[in-house]
Amino acid sequence: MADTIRERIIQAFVQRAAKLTNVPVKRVERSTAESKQRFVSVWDLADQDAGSAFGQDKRQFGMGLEVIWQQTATNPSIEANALMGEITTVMIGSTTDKTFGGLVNSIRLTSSSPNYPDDGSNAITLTVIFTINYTTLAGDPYTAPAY
Amino acid sequence: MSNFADLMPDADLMELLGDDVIYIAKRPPGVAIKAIVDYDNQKVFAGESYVPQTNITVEALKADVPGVAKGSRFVHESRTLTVDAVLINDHTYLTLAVR
Repeated sequence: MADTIRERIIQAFVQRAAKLTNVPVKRVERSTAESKQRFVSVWDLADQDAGSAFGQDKRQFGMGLEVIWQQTATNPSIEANALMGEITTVMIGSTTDKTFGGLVNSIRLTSSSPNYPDDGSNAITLTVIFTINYTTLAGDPYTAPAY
Repeated sequence: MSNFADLMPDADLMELLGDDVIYIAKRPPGVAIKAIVDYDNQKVFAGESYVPQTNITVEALKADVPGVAKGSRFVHESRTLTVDAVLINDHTYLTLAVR
């Protein structure tokens, strides 16, 4: 069976997130081995109704982008803020296709939540939530409307 | 009646249980002391996902580590451990977060 529009959006999102790390992006995988590499894991969240139009279902869901990495020499806040900028540029920057191949109506960066290392630790984490709006034909999650 | 603490002085206890480490307060060469080096696995979470991490603490007699502060170092089995914070100070023992 063909993939749903939601599934195709998630795949495109994961593919784009690959630019953020030099190891494979994980999709809803909780852990990786202890590593000095930047760990990126993507989580698709609840799908909900966002209204309707004639013959169309408008829907919305959140995408979590979770990153864990090891602090280098600089201040962890500086590193986290640099990564926030990098994520914005890579995922929804001015030169990116914000429709993800014509599948997405709009995507917004909803929140970025850094957490800094505990005493004795170098691990910094960043959780970024995107909100994605998309549309399918009414009752047909596999087909986007032709505009 | 004597109590356990009197029978087993802290220095004797550390001599018995401690690892051989070099303590460097500010600059080498440092001094050889006994301290308990503990390698503990913990998880660092970012929302749902996590990475396992080895957290290291050093427990030492306060008298053995004069001047200890953030940036002081221990050398344990050729590995240099740098003090990040004092986690516990009961005025006899110190528990130090190192990395």
